[in-house]
Amino acid sequence: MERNLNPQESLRIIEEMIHSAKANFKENSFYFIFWGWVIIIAEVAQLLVSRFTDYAHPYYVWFIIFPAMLISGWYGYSKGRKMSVFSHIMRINVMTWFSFLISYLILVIFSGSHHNIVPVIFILAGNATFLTGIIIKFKPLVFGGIVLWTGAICMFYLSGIALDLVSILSLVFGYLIPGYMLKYQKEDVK
Amino acid sequence: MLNKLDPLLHSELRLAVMSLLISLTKADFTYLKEQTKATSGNLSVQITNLEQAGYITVEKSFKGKMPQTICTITKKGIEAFEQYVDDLKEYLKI
Repeated sequence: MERNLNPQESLRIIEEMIHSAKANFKENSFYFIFWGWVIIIAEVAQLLVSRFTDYAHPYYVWFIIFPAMLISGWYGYSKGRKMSVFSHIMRINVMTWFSFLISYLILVIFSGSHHNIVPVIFILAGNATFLTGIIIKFKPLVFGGIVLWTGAICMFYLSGIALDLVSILSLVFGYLIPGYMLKYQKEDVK
Repeated sequence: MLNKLDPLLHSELRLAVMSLLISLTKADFTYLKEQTKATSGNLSVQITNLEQAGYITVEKSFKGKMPQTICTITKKGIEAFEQYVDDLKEYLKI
């Protein structure tokens, strides 16, 4: 490949290489599908325990979040080690979700039990989902973010079983459906 | 008067490698070889040239039992690439 170039050829090489350096984001679908199912299972489990048993602490089912965090972190770490490239766009996307995680932990640890933090978590998840959709140019995730925001607005006015149902529906349309669409789309998202 | 194009970047393979690395935080040797369609020997020589000029850093490690060479563009490399693109624009009167 060693030969003299003219400026037009140089420009063509730069354009071709920058175009080919775009990364594949299909593996991101794991996180939306995994977290969508984890949270839906926790929601349904809490609903069933509180409705059909006398157990005083149905919210304990949410401790499922912590092993799920470990699984999610392990998946990200092992995938990261195997990746042959890491782009600036990937880094921005990872940092978007890292900022969500920090915000989530601050809320859970420091907000106290008297606040209704569920809608706030959905707002934060909506932010991160919307931004991922913009970053990887995948419209279903943009709409997923909007669904989560809309769900959060409804949650401020609801309680009991209605709140649980809105929460589950928001996750189905905000996480799961966009996640499966990302996983099974024919062309790589670039 | 037009600036002389950086001779280190004004080569098909070195320019291709730098154009890939300008878009990425890091890339391994196999990826660069696939994208540039270069031979291992030629790519290895050109990567060494870029490393010696301080345009990229090269980190050798192991991925499982396989050796892995990770290339990352440096600040000097980014500046040189930007200057090259500016000079190219002048030549092309863009």
